[in-house]
Amino acid sequence: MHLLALLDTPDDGRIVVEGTDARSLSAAALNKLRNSAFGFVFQQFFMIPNASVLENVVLPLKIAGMPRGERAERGMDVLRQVEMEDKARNLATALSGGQKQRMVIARALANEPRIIFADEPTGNLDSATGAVVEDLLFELNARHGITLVIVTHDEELAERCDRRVYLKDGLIVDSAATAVEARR
Amino acid sequence: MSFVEIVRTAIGNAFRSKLRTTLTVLAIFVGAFTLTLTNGVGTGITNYIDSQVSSLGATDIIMISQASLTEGGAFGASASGPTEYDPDKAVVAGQMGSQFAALTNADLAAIRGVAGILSVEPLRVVSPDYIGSAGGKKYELTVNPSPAGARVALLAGTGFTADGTAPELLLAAAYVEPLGFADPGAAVGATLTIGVSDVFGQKHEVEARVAGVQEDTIFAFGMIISEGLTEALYAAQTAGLPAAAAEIYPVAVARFSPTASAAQVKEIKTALEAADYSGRTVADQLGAVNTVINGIVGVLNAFAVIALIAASFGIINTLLMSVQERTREIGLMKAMGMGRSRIFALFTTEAVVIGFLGSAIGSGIAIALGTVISTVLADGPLKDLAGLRVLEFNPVSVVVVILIVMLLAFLSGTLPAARAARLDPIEALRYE
Repeated sequence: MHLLALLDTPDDGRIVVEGTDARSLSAAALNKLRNSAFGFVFQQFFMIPNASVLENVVLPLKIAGMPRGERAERGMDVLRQVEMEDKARNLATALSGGQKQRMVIARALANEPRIIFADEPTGNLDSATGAVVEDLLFELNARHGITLVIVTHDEELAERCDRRVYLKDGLIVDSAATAVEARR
Repeated sequence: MSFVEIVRTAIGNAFRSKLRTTLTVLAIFVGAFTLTLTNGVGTGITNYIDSQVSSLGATDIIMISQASLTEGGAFGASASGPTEYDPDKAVVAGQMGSQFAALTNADLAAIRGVAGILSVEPLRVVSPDYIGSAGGKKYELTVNPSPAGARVALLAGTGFTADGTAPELLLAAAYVEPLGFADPGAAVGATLTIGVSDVFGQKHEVEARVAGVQEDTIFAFGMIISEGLTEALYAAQTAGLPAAAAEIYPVAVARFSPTASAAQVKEIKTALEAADYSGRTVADQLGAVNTVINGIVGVLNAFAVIALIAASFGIINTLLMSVQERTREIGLMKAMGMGRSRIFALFTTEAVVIGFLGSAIGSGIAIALGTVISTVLADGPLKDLAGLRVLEFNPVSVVVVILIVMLLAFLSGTLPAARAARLDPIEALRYE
């Protein structure tokens, strides 16, 4: 996932971003690409403690240099999408696990990404909350056409994906497409 | 992320660990506080000396003597060995038995010819015996040999009448009561008698009007007398002497243009030296005092700077801990596309914020405390030195102190900031 998210460089082969080898892109161009096109959801959430939910959500926009007012507006929009608008002023660390993951999804959505990378998005959640988060992610895929790249050990979650790549010790061992993918 | 945004975020980050930041700010506070105070002492004393300059004499004046007076020094020996005796050289007996070469009218004429010199007057040293009011007690007195044109702060009176030819004097404040005046105001306008004896022991009395009462200063001492009174006393003192003996002077007072630049003054001095005279301006006389004070303030400042250097290690430590704690956050920000330079800027700005807080609070409290202390001292133990404020704060130097501390903080911040900027986002996100 780190390779796909352009955080790492491959030992072998190449990563092509819209026709250009990622290697030939400058650090600034990579940063800009990650900032504008990618969203990240991590198992451990990675929040800024002592900051409000809204402040956490607008972090990518802040990095992008969006002005304050616009940022807050967009932040509230995405919080509404994950039904967290009433928690905007709360401290991020005071949220429950499911709420934290919804906040992190809102953060990933803030910059209107084309791809969301989710590393074990349900790993730290109980199955009920996990299901809510899963539904939220797949809804984004269905409604907004955002590509999801999910890393998981959860077979059930993997089942819901259009395309599955099995990795073992860093190497691809198997890949399968579901009926949906096959029909395409 | 814009610059304003970085500053805003850095301020927020600085306060995330309140206790740690407070302690670091405190360390800088101590250094900045000390530095502001020692600078305040320097400014206060320098200002005081500057304000006293006028009591030493006007700044457009140069005191001229025969070169051998300064070359030979008080012991008659210069670096090039003892000065050979010259029977033609006029000599006056100085105080404490020393002798020095004197200036004659011919010398005065020669000095007058030096380019840049506007006028030359001999300094007539008068040593009157006593001063007294009509029917009252008589007191010994010293006359301030300061050249005419000396301006002192006056407690009462308006100073000499314009041309200075009237026999007038500025009374030292200590004489007001002994001479039977209720207050300085009452002394102004009174006529006093000054006694002087000539070389044959003959007593003469000269009357003088009190034109003002001087404020006490560390430089001015004795009475300041008008040109008219000086002439009258000198005439009485040298009564009966042949002109050759009466018309020799240890020092002459020359005036140059008040607008002359330092280079022009230097030229005049060089010209005087070429003619074998030596000239000293007020600035020369003050130079020695200022060097000593600057030296002392410099040593005190060095101590304060040592404190600041110690504090800057505190900043390094605080920020390193902060980088450590926020490793995953830094990783996240990098994954989200925040560039190295922005991360670096974020942490150095945090250091600068800490430095600014410490120095601004330190300077602020130093100014408040210093003002109170110097007011208390000026009204108490240092009451006799009118106009002395031990601590004075020059806004420019306070701002410079704050800027220096901020620069030091920035430099301290570069090490942790570079470490944060170098972090690999993947490693950082895995960091436990």
